[in-house]
Amino acid sequence: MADCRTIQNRRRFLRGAALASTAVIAAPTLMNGRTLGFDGQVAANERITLAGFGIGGRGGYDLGVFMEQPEIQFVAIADIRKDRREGVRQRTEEKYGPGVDMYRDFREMLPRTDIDCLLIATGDRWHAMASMMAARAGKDVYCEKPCTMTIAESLAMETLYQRYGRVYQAGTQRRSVANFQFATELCHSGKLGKLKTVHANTLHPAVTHDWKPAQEQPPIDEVDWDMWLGPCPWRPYNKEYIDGGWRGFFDFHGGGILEWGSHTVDQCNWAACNDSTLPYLYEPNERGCVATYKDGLKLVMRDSGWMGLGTCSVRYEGEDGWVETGDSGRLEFGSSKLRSEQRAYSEEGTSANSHVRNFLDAVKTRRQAHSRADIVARSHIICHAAYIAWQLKRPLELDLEKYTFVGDEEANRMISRPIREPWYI
Amino acid sequence: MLRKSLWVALCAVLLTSSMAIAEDAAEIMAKDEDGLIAVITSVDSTEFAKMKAAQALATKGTDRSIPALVSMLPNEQMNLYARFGLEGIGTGACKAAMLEATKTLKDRPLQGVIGSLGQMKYAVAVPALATLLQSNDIPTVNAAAGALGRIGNDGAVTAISKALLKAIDKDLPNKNALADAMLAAAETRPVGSDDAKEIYQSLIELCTQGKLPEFFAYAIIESVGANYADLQDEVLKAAFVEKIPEDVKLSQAFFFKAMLALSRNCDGERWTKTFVEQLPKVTPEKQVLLLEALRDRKDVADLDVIAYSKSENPAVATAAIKFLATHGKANAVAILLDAAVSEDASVASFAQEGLAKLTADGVDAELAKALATADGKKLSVLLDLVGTRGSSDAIDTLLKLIDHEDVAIRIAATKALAATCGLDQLDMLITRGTKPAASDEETKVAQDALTTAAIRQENTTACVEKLAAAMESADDAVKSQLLTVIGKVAGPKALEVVVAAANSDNAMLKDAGTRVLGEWPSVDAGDALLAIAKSDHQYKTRALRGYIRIARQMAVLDDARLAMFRTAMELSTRPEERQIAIEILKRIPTIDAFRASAEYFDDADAVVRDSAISNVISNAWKLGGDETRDIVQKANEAKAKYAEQK
Repeated sequence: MADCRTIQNRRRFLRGAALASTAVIAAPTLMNGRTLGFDGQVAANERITLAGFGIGGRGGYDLGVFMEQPEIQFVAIADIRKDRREGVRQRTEEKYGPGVDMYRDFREMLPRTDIDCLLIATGDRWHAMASMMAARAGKDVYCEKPCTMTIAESLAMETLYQRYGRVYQAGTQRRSVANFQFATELCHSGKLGKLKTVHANTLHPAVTHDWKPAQEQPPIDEVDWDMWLGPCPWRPYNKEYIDGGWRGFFDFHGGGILEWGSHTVDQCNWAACNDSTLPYLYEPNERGCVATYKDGLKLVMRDSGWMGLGTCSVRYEGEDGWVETGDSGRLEFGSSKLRSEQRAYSEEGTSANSHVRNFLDAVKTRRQAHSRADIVARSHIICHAAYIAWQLKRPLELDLEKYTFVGDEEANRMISRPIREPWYI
Repeated sequence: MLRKSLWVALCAVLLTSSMAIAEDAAEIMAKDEDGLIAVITSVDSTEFAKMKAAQALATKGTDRSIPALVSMLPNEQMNLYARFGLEGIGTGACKAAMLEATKTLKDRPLQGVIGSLGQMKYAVAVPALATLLQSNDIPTVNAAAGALGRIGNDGAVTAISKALLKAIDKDLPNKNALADAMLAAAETRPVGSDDAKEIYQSLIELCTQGKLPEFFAYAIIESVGANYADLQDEVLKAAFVEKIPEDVKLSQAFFFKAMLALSRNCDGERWTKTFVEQLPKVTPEKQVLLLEALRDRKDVADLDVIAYSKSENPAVATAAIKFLATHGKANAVAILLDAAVSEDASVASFAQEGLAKLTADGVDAELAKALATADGKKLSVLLDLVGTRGSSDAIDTLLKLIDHEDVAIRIAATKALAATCGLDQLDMLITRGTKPAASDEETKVAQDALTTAAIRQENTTACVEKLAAAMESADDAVKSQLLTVIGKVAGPKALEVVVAAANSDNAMLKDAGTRVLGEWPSVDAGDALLAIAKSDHQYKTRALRGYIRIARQMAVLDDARLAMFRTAMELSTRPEERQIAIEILKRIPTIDAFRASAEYFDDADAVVRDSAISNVISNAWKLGGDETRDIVQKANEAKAKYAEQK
């Protein structure tokens, strides 16, 4: 579908305003010797080798989608949990036969030159770090969302992917789901008129700094707690964390705006043709934030008042009409004329089928995927900035060249978080 | 993806666990700087308290906090917390204190501080970091390289470069990390500057000698190529020469691929011209790749690749068809149509998708022309295409095809007509859509076509007027059908017609009108539904349910939604309506809604009661304040009480 921002040259975005006018084509590329043979065209069924890092609930679902693709060969799993490593190996060997290797420390897996792609589905704390390490090792990456923990991490990841030109696909799969694409197309084609307000379904932002009670740490081969913590601050072990109970804790989680905003704010940015920019003004309210772009467009991040079209809803309001949609696949429109243009959409918003397919096509052709790193950086920075404003309970102005808050030292101190050794970006 | 219900549950767990621990992080972190320093320096403080205090100093700390924070650095578990505070303070004194700490720290605490010095881009640290690059400890070297790369000044580059050559010489595992630091350093320089170019050139040399991995060479070419014209020339030249010089270890294949990669970041006619010139000269395999690369360019509108689409090499022909499907003009329509009915499903799909989206002038006219004479599979494909494109060019042909002898063609043509026609054809579609056709299937298609055509019309008032006029002479069943269509068109005129029907004396119209109102797609029907619900209308319960539906599902401000809830509860006389009305409160996370919920904690109807209780408990995390806590407590008490009774 049309993507009005793919004409922005990905590589030059961070290089400053002087180069801003030189925009050309989007598709950045590297030719991968293993997947794009010099002596022949890209073969539809050419094998793509995949490894996994941190495959739990959502990751297990993603893995299933990957395994349905004919060209995929799963070769290795890295996980800090022995039970998960073995579970993934058993599952994948049932399809691919013996030979899936297991790693407790994914750093040992990265140097393997026979791995093309990495599926990263750890907790949020690891996403950016692991994605950057994978790029440095020459891998293409499909990474679950939210993809970063801070504004600084978002920028660092964008820079890294520019540096290495690897294919990156964030697990913001709604970019590849038809009803969301259709709603965006209505914006891009001008059928809603000039956009006035876009609305993103977010969750309440609050998180806690507390710890769960300490429990005895299992043997390192069973659970590598130090590795689980990764770049985040140390705290005592508690099994609930590794079973998914890390959400809502500041050290591991970016808050409720980011949790769904990584999907819905991203959708809004896309719909408004703003993939290469973001709002400059962030005005928090009790349960979310209203951000304003330089052209006056408002982005409302809110957790209520939706039409009941499913989770992760978005709503786009223009001078000539509006559309709202969500994970159910249904859409509502401000006019029957708009409604008449829709088709039947069977894929739910949570489905990764089309998104994984888009990623693998990008791996083969070396075009960039729908949810590439620079796009994801923009939408995540919006969520981070909104969350910072919400925490400080005051409006913030973001300098869109420097990515610092204007005249607010306290806010600027929240742009980054230090990283636990030995990790670095 | 985290579902909302799970999120709510998690927050409830968080509330519980925060109550379970002895110390409250929020309480510690709320202290002022002096209070936080006191926590860190007190021998009575727990590690938890010290860590949280240090974390809070990230935003509250000044130079006064530095000694307390630095004292935490040697502790492996506290090191990062201390650096929260120190990186936040970030003053010259703070950086100097951290640099000083590197003299005594070891292992991970040292690596952490090195990382922070890099994060703060502390140029004064370069000599110390350069010394640390000589360490035998790989993580320490990597941390120092990362920090030096971020600082990126001449001293940093010299140090990294020296370490890189040593790592290459000894084939150390961290040579890539050092090369990465060189790239990072180059990125700190102005784009296009000689400074940056020098760094890139040194890395390119290492790559061409095969001393760094191939993916790294691609990275450099992509990083540099777009901004250095002479490098672009070198890559272009190498991609097309017969033989690469012997001292260059990379193959021509590499340069060809790199050139294609680079082309996607480079604008200008030069690239397009080079590709077009080379296209006839290279092997078919390379032609495929060049056509793929050309397809991604924006300055290729005038490029004629039709000859390649007829190539005997199927891969070349396919690549050309893909190009035409993206950039084709009207003269490509016939070729793409042939491809669209190809046996190769992938080619057919690409061609069909392309034809559905091509924007060039004359494409619709060409498709309409082709439709007039097409048959077989091509006719089916064309009918689908003209419907998808929604162009009116083919209407005359479609009007003939809706009476085609082949039922499949009739059906496809009817669907296409519905997707393309204007008001002029609506009367005809009303006639066909309201009478039985040759089969049930065709009757259904005609009915759907009428609906599709009606809701597509831009002038909804005129459209509704036509439908309403048709109702006048129709029998009851058709009137009901047309009312349904009018409901789907929606808008003020449609609402007027439907409300009139709902309030008419005709029993059938009353039934259909209230049904359509109850399913109205916007909040506009709220007043009409409420009026019926308040009257002694035969369908007042149906209207009340429609009203509740709007309050539950549609975009209404919190206060208005709460008012709708109260109205709905007042009007609900049966348990069924009360039980769905209470659900409205779940959509209103405000203290007023909590108060309203509390009124039903002891309701005689267990469903209503449980819903009210669960609304408060599940939304509690969204609200703060004493009153919320009180209401939540009452909800929990009620929950426990009725659980016991069960």
